[in-house]
Amino acid sequence: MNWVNYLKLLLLAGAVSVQADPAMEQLKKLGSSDKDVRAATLQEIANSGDQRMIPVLSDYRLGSLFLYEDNVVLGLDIYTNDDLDEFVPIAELFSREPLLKPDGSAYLIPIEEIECIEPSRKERKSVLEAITLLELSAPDNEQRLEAVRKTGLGEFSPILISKLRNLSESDPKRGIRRAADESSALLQLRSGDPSEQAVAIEMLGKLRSVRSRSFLENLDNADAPAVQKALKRITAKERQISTFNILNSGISTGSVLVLMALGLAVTFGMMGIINMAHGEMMMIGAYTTYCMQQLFRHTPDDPHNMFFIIALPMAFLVSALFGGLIEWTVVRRLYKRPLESLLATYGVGLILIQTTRLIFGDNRSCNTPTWLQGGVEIAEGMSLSFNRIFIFILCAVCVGGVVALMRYTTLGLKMRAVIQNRDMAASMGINTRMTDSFTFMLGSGLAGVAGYALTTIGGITPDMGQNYIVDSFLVVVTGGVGNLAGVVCSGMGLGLLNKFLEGTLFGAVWAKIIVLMVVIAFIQYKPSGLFAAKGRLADD
Amino acid sequence: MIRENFLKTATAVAALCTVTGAVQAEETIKVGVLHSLSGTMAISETSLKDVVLMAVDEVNAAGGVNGKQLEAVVVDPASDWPLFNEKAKELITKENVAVTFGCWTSVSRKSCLPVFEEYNALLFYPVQYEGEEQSLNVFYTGATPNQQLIPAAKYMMDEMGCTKFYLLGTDYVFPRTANKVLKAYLKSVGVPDENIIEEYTPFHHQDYQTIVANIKKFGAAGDACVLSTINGDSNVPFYKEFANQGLTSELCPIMAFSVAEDELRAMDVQPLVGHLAAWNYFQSIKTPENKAFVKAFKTYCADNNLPGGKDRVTDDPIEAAYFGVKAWAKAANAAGSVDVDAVREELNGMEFDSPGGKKKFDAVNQHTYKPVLVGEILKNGQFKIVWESEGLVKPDSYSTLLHTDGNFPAPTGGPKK
Repeated sequence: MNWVNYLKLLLLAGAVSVQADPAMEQLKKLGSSDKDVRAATLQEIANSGDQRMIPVLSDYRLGSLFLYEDNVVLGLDIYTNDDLDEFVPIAELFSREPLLKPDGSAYLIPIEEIECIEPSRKERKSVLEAITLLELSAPDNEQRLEAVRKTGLGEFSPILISKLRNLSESDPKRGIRRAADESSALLQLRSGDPSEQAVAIEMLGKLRSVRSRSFLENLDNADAPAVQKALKRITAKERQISTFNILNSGISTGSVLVLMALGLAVTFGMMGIINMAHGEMMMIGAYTTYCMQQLFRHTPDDPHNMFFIIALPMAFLVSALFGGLIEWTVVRRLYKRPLESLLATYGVGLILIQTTRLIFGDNRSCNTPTWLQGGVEIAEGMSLSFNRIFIFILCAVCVGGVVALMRYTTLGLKMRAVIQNRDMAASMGINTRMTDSFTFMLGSGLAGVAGYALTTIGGITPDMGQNYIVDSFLVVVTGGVGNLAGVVCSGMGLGLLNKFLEGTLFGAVWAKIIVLMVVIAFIQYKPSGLFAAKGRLADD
Repeated sequence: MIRENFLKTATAVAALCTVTGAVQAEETIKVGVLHSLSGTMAISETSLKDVVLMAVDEVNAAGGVNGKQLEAVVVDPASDWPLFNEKAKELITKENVAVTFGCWTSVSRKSCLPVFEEYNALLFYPVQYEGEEQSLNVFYTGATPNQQLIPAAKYMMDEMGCTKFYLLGTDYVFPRTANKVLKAYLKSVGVPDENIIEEYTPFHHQDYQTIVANIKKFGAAGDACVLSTINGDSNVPFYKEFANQGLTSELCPIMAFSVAEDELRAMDVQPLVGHLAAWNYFQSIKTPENKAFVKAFKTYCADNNLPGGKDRVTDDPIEAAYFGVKAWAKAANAAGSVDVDAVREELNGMEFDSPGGKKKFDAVNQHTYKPVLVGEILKNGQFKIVWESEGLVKPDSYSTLLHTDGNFPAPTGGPKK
């Protein structure tokens, strides 16, 4: 017998018999059938400031608390057997450790035999408010800030106002003091007292509180000059936020475009091969990332973030190998016949798509590593998500890497030589076949990296490459074939243009159409793209 | 010598085939299965094919229809809309099927509808759709807008206290019509224009940054919700972006109309947990009938070595496809024939049992009376049922909200005059 588990049981028994923990008694009262008792108990817990109760109340809200042998326990994920009978594994309330029987096996209680303690739908909101109230004194800054903000939208109560006033005076964090001012002003605004309202309006205008707009607009005296003045200030702030958002999303869309087009800029731009299976190289990179996740058994409950770091070189290598294989079997034989290579690679792409569908199925997705989830708020309403920052950095590193490779290495020198004049390079003793293979593999590997990056944004489907191949060609052609600087400029430019159109006047559908029209017009006017090749290269 | 023998055997085999063919034609009733097994829709439609075959097996085990066994004829229209038309014709004219179970997308149904009407054949259509259609040659076992969209919107207002609605969808016919109905409903209950935003994204859209930022601004006061008709692979990036920008199901709940258990099976469910979906059936319905159904489906998939096996799940369209077969068999038995007009007569207004409880067909419009359920998405890809309509909701073939004058178009198709 495991003595640790035995001890745990003893502790649990102790908690009941000695009744050392008042929290347990309170929780039991939440299971009362009298709704007034439940409401009073909830209030009591909320005012206790007991931080341990925050996760417990969340469990209560979600219906995960159970009464077992006169003891409140936490129900873990329900286990279903082959007969579809459901069982609840139970755990200790505060430590969340599974309770084990003396012989070391887990308690599995048939769901019919255990009483669930849960709030009614109507009560759920007050549970959330109680959690928020507890979080007002949380030691974690993020948690406290979030809670302070939430209270502003809740019900007015004098206790809340005094708590917020306290925070506004004494909290060490400036952002939290500000949020406390805003929330208490929002509450005052709805208090019904005209003098308090006037103070609140003044305050909200001063704070440029975006959240208060709809409350201000719905006031009875919304036309009063004080309210209008506040609204004007808020509008200015909103404009700032929306400009920021357009820039932010434009740049991150741009980075995705650049990352995708980078590989194509190498194969199509430099080698002149139209590789329609380029999108599938990206898909392979994404599925490699997925495989790594499965290999490391990374799940949201049991994160193994290492998988994501290993997946980066793996995605590059696997895609590069597939690229090499395609080059060796198909593309090599068609260097002089670009149209046929277009059709042949398209066929290869279709084969890859259907094969992947048969092996993996549709719509897989990667659980982003924990450090890429969420984002950072740099100012109110302006947040940067970590996955977007990551893609931007990855994009910059890849562009830098390719430029460095081309400029400063012997290999790059050989690649440039073959691209510029194949025959001359060959006569100088460069193995052009090998160089071709390598260049093609590099381009495919870069596509794999793009696929890897895309798993942090969306799902993985066998035909995901098809959605991006057009965009990638668009970027390369607009940028000027064979030019890396052109790819960066056109990728960023198209990303910003798309997001500007989408964010201002048009929706996503129209933005896409207009961008395509702009590119068509642009190509008419400048057929060789933003950065046209000059000199001898331009003749080709 | 060898050649002679070969010829003899070949003739014998051919003769045997003809004989068994003739015997089979006498003893079985053919039913068509018209679901895409390849291409983009295969992910959803394959499950419907599986459950229809299971239902056919069950009908056969219970004695078949009018004493004859059913024989399913499966064809693959390959997610190719015009091919649905051809394959439907093939089923009706070459295979002489008594009834066809099939289609998922509205465009595929519209594509083969003329064939069913021309030959006065019968189609069972199992998916929730935008309504605005009534053909006498189709029985609709999925929901109409008033059996899914409107109760869900009402739930958001009454239970969640939402006053602002962001209608977000993929750009095609279902979301467009669904949002038209939703908008008409919201306006009819006094939601002002400025509190409703309608927006669409192209198919396979992946970049939801701007839209989520707009939702965040729209819902800054904490009283907004999203009514989502986003389809397929766009759901993952949407929910991920939603979570990344710090929005939660408490700040701004998303009510989805196109996310069911079968889609959640492969997805990263984490960002969706706590958000809502409205359907007429969930696998988590706790009745003995449903438990038996879920178990039977899992066993069927495992026994037949279908992908996923025991881990397969049931959902709303799967249930609707299943009870479609059962209801047709019941009606054909009652009519004592598989003649389309006779069976239709029986089906109109017929009550029947289904895994999700008792249901019935409308007396005149070929649609199904169904209960409406709202479920909260759980970590394991299942739904916790949080709201249920009182009794069955009557289906509108044409929305009363869009045809306010009460003039509905006459049904199409039916018996040849």
